Amino acid sequence: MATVQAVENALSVHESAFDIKYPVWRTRLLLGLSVVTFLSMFVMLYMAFFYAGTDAVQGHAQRLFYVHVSSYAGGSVAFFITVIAGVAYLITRNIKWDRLAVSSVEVGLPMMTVCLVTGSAWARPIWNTWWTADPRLNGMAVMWLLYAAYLVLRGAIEDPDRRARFAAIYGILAFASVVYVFLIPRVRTDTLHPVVIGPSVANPNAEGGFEVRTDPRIGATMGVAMTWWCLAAVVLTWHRVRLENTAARLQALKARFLAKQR
Amino acid sequence: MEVNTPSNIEYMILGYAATGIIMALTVAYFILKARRMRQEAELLKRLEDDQEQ
Repeated sequence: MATVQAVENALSVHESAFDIKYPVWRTRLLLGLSVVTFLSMFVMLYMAFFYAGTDAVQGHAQRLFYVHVSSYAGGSVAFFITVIAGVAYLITRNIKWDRLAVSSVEVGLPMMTVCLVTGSAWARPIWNTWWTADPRLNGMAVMWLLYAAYLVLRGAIEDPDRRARFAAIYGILAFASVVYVFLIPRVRTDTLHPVVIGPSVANPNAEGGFEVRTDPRIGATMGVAMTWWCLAAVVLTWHRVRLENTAARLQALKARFLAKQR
Repeated sequence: MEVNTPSNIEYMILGYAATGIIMALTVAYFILKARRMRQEAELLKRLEDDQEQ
């Protein structure tokens, strides 16, 4: 009986995929934003490599901060979209929010991977190690694993409603790790990780920090990089949602085709 | 005060190259997924057409 109910639920979810329609202005806006994102990437790279000066203490490795910090911002935006989509799903039970949630995780995870890799590449010349047991670094690794597990665990649940409910709650709870990683160097003094943007406690253990506000070129480059990664997170999530909608429609077509075979 | 700026451009290149590869793979994954779905949809349409005939 439960199986029959699950199949009926699945079919009703599939049928709802036929209702997805895109107004022309939205498609044009997405196209326009995609072009702007692509072109502004070159502006960001130009600023990072040529406009912002070379840091006297850290050398060229400091330029990694423009990617490291801003990819974290972009990933956080994507994961915050997961939270919004999760809350919206739990309130409305509309499956479109679940499609948005999984899309934003699939965009946020590679961005956080970029953050981890560039952080490690920066740490090698500045800290003399690729990785160290630090609350910030370990917190980041745990966060990455939590979101990777989100995608794996989703795949293990067959029933679309159950999967969406589970993913919504998981996505909301997992965001605590993003907040934790953001706050940890700002409130604790036992971390090596410097804070380059925003207020923090005086941490004598932090190594490799620099002050964004002292050089307007560094500040401007960081601002452009942050904006670019946040924009890229939104644009990529938007494209990924459309892909997910197409996948849902395809599933619906398959379900309809199989129903005709009976 | 004199500062000796360290030479560590290889780490910068490593980080930016890794970023490029990760983001390019992400976009490639989306494109390949879209292409596979288009192929599946075409196949499904062909099957339906065959059945109608």
